[in-house]
Amino acid sequence: MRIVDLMKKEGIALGVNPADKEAAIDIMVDLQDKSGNINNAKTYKKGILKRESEGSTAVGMGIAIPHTKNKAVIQPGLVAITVPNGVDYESPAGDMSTLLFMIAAPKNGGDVHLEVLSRLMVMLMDETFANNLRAAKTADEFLEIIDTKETEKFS
Amino acid sequence: MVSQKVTLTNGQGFHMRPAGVFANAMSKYSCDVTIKFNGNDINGKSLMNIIAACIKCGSEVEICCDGADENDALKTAVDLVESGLGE
Repeated sequence: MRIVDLMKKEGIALGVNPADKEAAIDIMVDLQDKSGNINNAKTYKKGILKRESEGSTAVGMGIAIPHTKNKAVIQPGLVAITVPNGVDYESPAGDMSTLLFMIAAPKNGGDVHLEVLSRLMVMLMDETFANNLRAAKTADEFLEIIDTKETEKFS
Repeated sequence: MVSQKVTLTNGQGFHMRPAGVFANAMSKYSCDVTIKFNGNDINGKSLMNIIAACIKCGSEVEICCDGADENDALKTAVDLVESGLGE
């Protein structure tokens, strides 16, 4: 499953400025809704918050990847935001998060979850790639950067 | 260097939370911790590296520790994996 196939232009918001972690989550839940990946934003958000309560999904290097396997998910999907000023996503490493992806995984989606997370992480470990995403001006450009990298890494 | 093979038994393999539990526990040791899986050497102290490796439940991995406190580190690592990585 390709990352780029799980993303839509409607699910990308660049240069947003959430006041705190929950505001960032609200933006991304809304993007999942607009992308048609979930049928109940409230239930989905609850799942995301529950997962965060067990430990932040910020992974360092300014990146956070909130995710949940949730009954409100009707199709697997990925949304993204860039936060130029950074948001405090309670990263154990203490860094501010500037590039965030949120994964929606269906309740009975098997290992899809792990595969998407892994594929995304392989690409994000390349700092140039992550910085190119942060610098993207349009959603089209953002998707094109991912498409190029994914083709280079996995085909 | 000491090493041991171990099979992942927790429900979803090395996804983010168990990977974090493992990386945090290993970071407390001074020795190098390497997870050998599928012909790759993965840095056992790096959350991102472990997740990127996509190690699913049922996989066998070899954990290698190399350095002053290698025996303690290996014991902790094996215990963690065998106990289901905090799940």
